[in-house]
Amino acid sequence: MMWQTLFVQPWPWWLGAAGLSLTAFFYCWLMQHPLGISGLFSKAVFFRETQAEEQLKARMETNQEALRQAMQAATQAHMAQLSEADRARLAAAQSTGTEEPEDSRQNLAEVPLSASLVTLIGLVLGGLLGQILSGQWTLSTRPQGDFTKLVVDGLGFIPVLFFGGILIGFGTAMAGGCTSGHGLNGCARMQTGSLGATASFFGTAIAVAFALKALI
Amino acid sequence: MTTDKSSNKPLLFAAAFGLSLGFTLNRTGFSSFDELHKMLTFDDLRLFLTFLGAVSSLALAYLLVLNSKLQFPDRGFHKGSIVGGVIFGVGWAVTGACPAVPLVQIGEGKVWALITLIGVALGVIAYEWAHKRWFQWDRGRC
Repeated sequence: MMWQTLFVQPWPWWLGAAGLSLTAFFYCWLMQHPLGISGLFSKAVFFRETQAEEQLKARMETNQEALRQAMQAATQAHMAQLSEADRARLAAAQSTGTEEPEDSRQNLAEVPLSASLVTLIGLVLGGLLGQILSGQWTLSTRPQGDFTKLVVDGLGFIPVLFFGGILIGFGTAMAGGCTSGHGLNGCARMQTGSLGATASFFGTAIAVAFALKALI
Repeated sequence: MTTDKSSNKPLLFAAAFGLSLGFTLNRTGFSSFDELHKMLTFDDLRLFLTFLGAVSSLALAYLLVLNSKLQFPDRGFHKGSIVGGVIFGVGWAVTGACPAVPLVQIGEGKVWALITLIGVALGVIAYEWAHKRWFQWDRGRC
């Protein structure tokens, strides 16, 4: 019975909600970046640029650390040359400013290319696992079901999926996010841009779905 | 403020999250054209409730935990927010897929989802080209 609910029947809404939110929560917690698949996709597609950026960042961090140490050493050398009176005056001037409370929050981290690729591969494995456990894994070479009734039958699926895919890639890149980035995380954070984008793609998808239904 | 170096958490975590999301998309039916269309035409509210439930509980997680741990940037409206959403929405309804879905479908044995996947990749490349050439607005990044 439990097996049926978890692995065979489509998940009830609360189980699906838990699956999505827990995944998104722990991802953000551990990776220090909200889960956004279109972002990971972009990194993967432009893997050369992503790699170059990561290498540049690493070099800059090394250089900045070297610069910081050099400046610290120079300051100490300068201070050692000052007279007792001058040092006291400097210290007094510095301590009259109010101390800003330290912000203990961390900045978001960039998800590395390696992690992005691995997560995308994980999506494939997740589909594989789900389908195997439900006993429904089968190799299929063309879409079946409502797609053939509502959209296109026969080999027409090839141009439809191809150009549909282009719209998905283009649209999510333009909007700066997709159902996970904007839909889940952006909306959860009540960001106006995400709420707008989500309303936009949901509203459009609903309209198109109704149109497809009407045009059978 | 603690360092903002790139996350170097084990790749195992990254894989686990991908697996978890893929598994969830499969089990909920978000990777199924039929189930998605039932949601979009209000024939079955299950996936709507799934989505709303997920956003609500994640909102709580942000308020109670994540907002005090991490500094999140603003994601306000930009010129591409709405039009990009419309373009994506058309693709979503027609293919039944959002960016994650073709990958999940390939795992499910749906070899034809490779076509969607290639389309998505080309769409991303085409957009970057168009963006550099004409748009050049700041869209943040998910």
